[in-house]
Amino acid sequence: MKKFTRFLSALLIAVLLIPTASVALADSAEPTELIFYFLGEEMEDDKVVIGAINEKLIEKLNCYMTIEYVPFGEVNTTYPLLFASQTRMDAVFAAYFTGYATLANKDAYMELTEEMLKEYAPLTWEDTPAEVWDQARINGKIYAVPQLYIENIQGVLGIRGDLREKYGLPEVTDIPSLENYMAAVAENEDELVPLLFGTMYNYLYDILMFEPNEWASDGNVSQICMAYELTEDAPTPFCYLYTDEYREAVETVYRWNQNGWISRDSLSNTHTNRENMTNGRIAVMMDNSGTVNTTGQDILKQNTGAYLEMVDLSGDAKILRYAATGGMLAIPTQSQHPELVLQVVDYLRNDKEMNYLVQRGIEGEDAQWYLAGELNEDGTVNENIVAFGERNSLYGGNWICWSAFRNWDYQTLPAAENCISGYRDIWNDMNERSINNIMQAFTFDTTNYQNELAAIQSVYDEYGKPLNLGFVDPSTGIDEYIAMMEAAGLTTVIDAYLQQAADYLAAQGAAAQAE
Amino acid sequence: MGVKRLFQNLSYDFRRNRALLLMILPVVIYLLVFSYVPMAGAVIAFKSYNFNDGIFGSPWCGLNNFRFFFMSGKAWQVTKNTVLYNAAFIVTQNVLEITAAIFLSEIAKPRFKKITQGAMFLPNFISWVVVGAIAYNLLSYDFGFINNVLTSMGMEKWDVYTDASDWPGIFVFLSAWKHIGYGSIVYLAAIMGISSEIYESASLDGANEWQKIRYITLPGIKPTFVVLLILAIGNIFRGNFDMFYQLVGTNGLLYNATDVIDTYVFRSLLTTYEFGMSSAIGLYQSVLCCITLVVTNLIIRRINPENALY
Repeated sequence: MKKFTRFLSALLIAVLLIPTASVALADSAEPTELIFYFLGEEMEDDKVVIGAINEKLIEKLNCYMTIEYVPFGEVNTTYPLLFASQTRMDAVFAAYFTGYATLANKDAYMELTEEMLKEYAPLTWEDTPAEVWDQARINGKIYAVPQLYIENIQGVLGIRGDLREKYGLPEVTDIPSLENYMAAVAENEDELVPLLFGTMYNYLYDILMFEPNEWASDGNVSQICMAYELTEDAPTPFCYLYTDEYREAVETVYRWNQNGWISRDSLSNTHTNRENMTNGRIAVMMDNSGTVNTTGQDILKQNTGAYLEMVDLSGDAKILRYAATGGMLAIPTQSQHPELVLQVVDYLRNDKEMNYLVQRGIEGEDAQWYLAGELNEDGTVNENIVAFGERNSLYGGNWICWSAFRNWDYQTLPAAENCISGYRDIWNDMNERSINNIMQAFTFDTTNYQNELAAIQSVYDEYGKPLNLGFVDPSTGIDEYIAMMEAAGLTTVIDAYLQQAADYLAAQGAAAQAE
Repeated sequence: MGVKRLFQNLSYDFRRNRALLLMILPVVIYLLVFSYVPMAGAVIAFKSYNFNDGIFGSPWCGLNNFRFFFMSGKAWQVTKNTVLYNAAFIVTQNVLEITAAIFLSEIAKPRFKKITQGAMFLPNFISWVVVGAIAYNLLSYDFGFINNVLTSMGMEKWDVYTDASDWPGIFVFLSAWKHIGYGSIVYLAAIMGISSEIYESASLDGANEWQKIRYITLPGIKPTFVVLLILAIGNIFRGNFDMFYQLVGTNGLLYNATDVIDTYVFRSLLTTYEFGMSSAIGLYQSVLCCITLVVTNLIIRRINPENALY
């Protein structure tokens, strides 16, 4: 018994000593682990690429990144729980569509003060224009490092060129020629439908309403349907539900639906446009140019004779450049190493070699990418134009690279051989036409209107989506929809929104005058 | 004196039933940790939650978190849908489960009995996500299997994703298909508990199979049925979120017939991250469930005290 007691005491002492020993081991020589959360899922070559990045990080900052993922489908459910459950993490992806403003108001993120940024991310602080920082400000405070990237995510069309030729139709250049093409498909094809939408149908209204009218919408609170004229310097926002332009767009979609050009599965379909197009279910896809291009590549690989043509119907209208808040990196309040995270961001964002690693992966024809060899006007090689290596598709599918690490000095554009017909021209053309607007940095403070917004959200889902996809007759449907929205408190929220926007614009105007 | 006596009684009971009390200890701990302790968190329904202050430190906001539910005019409709669907599930499933259990108990060949039971039990292990995907591939208007067959036979397509009228039937069918195997096992166990001597003496008295079922089996499983019924009614205000969400998703045209409290709240609050508001509706459901449970038990106690839960 005595022996057993001794043994127990020894065991107890050993157990008590373990934490002390590990503390002793964790001295300054050990590299610090930083846990980063990004959207997406782990890809096959992530470990190799992150391993290469970590080697450099250990060398320079004595730390390394461990990457965790929130799947795209769980952005609205798992993502907020990371904060509620106080999950151990040091940095986290943030964007307007992950509820950046709402979560910042709820103290989920650490405020990044000017002093912190100047001290730990000096290059980033210096190189990022003030108006980009402004986009990341919530009530005057910065909670995340915004991306620096030239990106246009307006809706374009992906047309099955092989089908168009089969019916002897001219290229699609406007809505009437698109309608002729859809009519031919509906009449002649049994296996596929012209259009099938899913949870995302915003590109349809990009093409029919926002782009031709040079409007932009507020993605932070999309359920209240606020828009503004993007060419105006200090635009007054308006709710587009009350406009004739909205009525016209809905009537067009209703006509398409009645003609059988929109699949009756559109309200229940959960597949993406890319999946539906590559599976041969649709003849027209409406998506952003990058996704249409990738889908076109997928189809070419299938070797069925099918191919995609990219068509942009926005003509020479001005379009809104993608918000800097579309991909950011925030530091959660529970982070143990905020300063180190900022140092990592500064290094990966501004060092060319590191930036290429994180955004493109490993260089080499047998790896992710290599320079396409296209020349600039001065005869030097254009380092932004990149050809796909053999393992290109095994890195970059999740959003490690789509965040604060993005730097427009190291922009990436696929080589001509990796672009479908129309992509390069549309890309260049959109870049020339795209502008920023002062309203991109406006964030509606929703604190006192959460009940109304929740009620409006449910009306938006129940009445808005069927109407917007042409399943409800607009002659009665629009009025019914608006009446339900108003009953849920739309007018109150719009009044508050307009007041806050006016205050914001006045403050911006005063600041500009003071300068 | 009273207190002392009470302690004496308690310690006597403890000493006498030590083994039994130890056996129930894990369940008591389980209930304490997972059911009673979290109840304190229900205060979040009356708080304006922020991550920094946590559940208990966040400021109070009265009944503000309940407002959205009653603002859009959908509260009555989704509550009604939840209760009616659950009532339909309780009735159909219990009838089918009891029938299946009786049939199973009558099957003489053990191998056939096991195969039948296994086949019935299998759907219980298929997740609603998978069922939802299978249903979409079967029912899709343009690409679904059923509509392909109907078209090839020259018949009209079944437009199930834009017409809500057939959904109550689909839900009742799928819910029964998924749960009948599990439920029938409970009743089968109750039937096995009935003494075989009763059946033997009934046979001697000349009773046929139907009479044995009517006068021995059914009364024999009545206590089990009542307990299961009370427990099911105790959850009548909770919708089966997985089933409704995976099968209907975000199809607004079907909401009138298919929206239950859980799916409505999930959709409304998906983008607002208001834990207080979702907890408020959880509390609303719990209170209603608690009231129905107590009332049902009271009614059953009036009718037959032996069958009541307490």
